[in-house]
Amino acid sequence: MSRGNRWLDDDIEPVRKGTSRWQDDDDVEDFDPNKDYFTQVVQRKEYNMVESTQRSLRMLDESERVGVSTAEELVRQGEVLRKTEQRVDKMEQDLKESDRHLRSIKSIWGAFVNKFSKEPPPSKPISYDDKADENGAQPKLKDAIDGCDRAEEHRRDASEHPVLQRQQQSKQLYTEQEKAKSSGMQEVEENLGLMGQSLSRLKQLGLGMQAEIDSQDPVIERLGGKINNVDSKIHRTNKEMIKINRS
Amino acid sequence: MDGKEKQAMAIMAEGDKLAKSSRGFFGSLFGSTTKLEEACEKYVRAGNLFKMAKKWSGAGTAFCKSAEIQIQLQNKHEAATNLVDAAGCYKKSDAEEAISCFSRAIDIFTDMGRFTMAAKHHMNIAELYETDAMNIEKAIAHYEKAADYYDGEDSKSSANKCWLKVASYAAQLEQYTKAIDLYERVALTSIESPLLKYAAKEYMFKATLCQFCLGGNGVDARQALEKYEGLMPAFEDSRECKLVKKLVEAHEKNSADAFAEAIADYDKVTRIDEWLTTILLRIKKTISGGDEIELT
Repeated sequence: MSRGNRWLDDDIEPVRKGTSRWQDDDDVEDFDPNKDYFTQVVQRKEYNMVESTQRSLRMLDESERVGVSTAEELVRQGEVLRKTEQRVDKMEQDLKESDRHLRSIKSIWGAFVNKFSKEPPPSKPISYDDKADENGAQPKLKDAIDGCDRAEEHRRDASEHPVLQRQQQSKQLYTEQEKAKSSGMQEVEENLGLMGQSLSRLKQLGLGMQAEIDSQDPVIERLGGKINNVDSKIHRTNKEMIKINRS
Repeated sequence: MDGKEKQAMAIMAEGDKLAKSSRGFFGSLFGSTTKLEEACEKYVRAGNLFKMAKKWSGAGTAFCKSAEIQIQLQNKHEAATNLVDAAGCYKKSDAEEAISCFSRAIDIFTDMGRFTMAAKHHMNIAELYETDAMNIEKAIAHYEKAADYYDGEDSKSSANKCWLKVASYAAQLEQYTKAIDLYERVALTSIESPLLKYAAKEYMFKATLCQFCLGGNGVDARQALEKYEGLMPAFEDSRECKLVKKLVEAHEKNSADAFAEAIADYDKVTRIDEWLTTILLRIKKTISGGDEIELT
């Protein structure tokens, strides 16, 4: 029940406020029906709009900046990740080699086996694998980004896109109808246009980042597996070394 | 706190003893390496204890001693990591010492062919230098080396990061041709990457401003603008490009007011940072200089 009451209270209060506000306005209207008053209000509103669009533009610009630096960092990270993967691959190879050496130390048999199994150098298949994977990941990214590029080009072409056509039409309308419109409104219009531009840029940035992250994800996963693998191998070789030490 | 420091001192002394005993005739004959290794361990432990007590220079010396022994033992990698640890400790107390530790570590890393590590530490040195205005040149040199190493290792974005630093400092030191060169290079590589191309306009903007400074009049800047627009059509739409155009116009009319107005307009949306302020002020000075010449 108490909840219900609260809701009721809430309901009542804004209504009251609203009515009072209206009454106030009415009073003022009655008080000062001059045109000046309205122009003043309009001016103030305009000023506020200009200010707020300006502010949002600044915010957008800032977020764009942050986005750009994030993207840079992401790309760098991707590079480092891929390099790390290569290095882990190398480690794996080295470990394989040391395994073979260990085997030959352990017994004559091992050495014998090694002599026969010497032929396959393990570096090639791994590097192939890696490259294939990378190639697999990168086209996706490229596709996504090419799509973005195309979208952007479309946007730049402008004439084809219906929305843009409409925008242009409306712009023409505006210019025809309201040439005498105050500079404040024009500024707002301009700012809105700029806001639209930077929003679209932000969107593409976001899409690009997503693609990059998508391509980095499998790399990280593979890295995890490989590192586990190398770790277990190191442990195994360590154990064998201990065995050899004892014998 | 005090207890930790004392403990650390004690462990250091033990390490010293171990190291000394291994240096003797008998020591070198018999089991010197294990003793040296033990000494290293002691030093590292002492270093960590010093760290806990926040005695940074003590920790630095401890790590350094360990590194020296590791070099004797030919454990290059260990030595380098110890040196880096030492540098990290010295960073907080004695920048010069930190730099010397870093450079020794770099020598070892380059010997081992670990260029990315070397580059990273070059960057560390550069960061230490750049806090001091007197040493900007040295910072630039180190950033350049880092960039070269990164470039050699194919880490382009890391290299670009360094190049950008070099460029911005070079511009501050009025070495505009170098700055322009670097900004252009980074911008060109950024255009190719779909994610980085949004950053390219800023580098182009900075390059044009440097061009402006270099030429002393708007002609070069305008040519540069045209060139960049050809390279990247989106640059034309950017506010940066519009600003430069306005600036060039103002400069041609020799009107400092229009110049300031254009900058204020730009500042409404994007905050102008320190670098931009210095460069823009330099350009503005050429305007007032022009005025004076006209007056006389």
